[in-house]
Amino acid sequence: MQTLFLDSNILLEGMRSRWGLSKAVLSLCAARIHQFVLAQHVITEVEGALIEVLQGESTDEAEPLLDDYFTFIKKARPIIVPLATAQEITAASRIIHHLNDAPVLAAAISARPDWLLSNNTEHFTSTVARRTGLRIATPYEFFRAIHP
Amino acid sequence: MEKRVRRARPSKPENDVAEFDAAATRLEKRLDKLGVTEKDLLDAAAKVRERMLTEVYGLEVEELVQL
Repeated sequence: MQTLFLDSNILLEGMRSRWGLSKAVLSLCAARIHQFVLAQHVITEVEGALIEVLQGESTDEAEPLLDDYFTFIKKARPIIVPLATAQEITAASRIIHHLNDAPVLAAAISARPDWLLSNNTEHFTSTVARRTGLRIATPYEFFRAIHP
Repeated sequence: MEKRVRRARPSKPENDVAEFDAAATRLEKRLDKLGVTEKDLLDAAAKVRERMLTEVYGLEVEELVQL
């Protein structure tokens, strides 16, 4: 079983598409074939994004949707990585060019997953991978690597 | 009289997958009904990520740039 640290774009793509590699990654975690590693930062960010797009909707619409989101996350059986400290973020900010991503990188460095999966290859680059020792890939690259 | 304690059985992976799929399908349908696209979610997440450095950690981008 490999540990997979998922960036928020994987979660959002996985929850919005019926099929696709991001959904497949999450299904494999629910099936205990891989272990989902989830940063508290990513949880907060995805919740914030949902709340933002639900602004103006009635609570009758918003509440069941958020309930389903919590079940969706819970059933994928994540290990939660706590928020990074300011020192860890500062250290990560020296490695990643896009500073807003530093808290996510800091959480991944602390969790030491087998894989960090993100669709944002412009920010989570091969240079970031080399400097942190993290194996960073898109879901496609991940599946290509484990099913050569 | 001796009381019997029933321990919760660990859930089976197949059941977890089925429940995950059911929640994912409901979630997707609700987002569909509200017309929320993947791009809407990704754009909203990018805005939240931009704010979080300051709101959650009390750090300013300018501070980190100067380090």
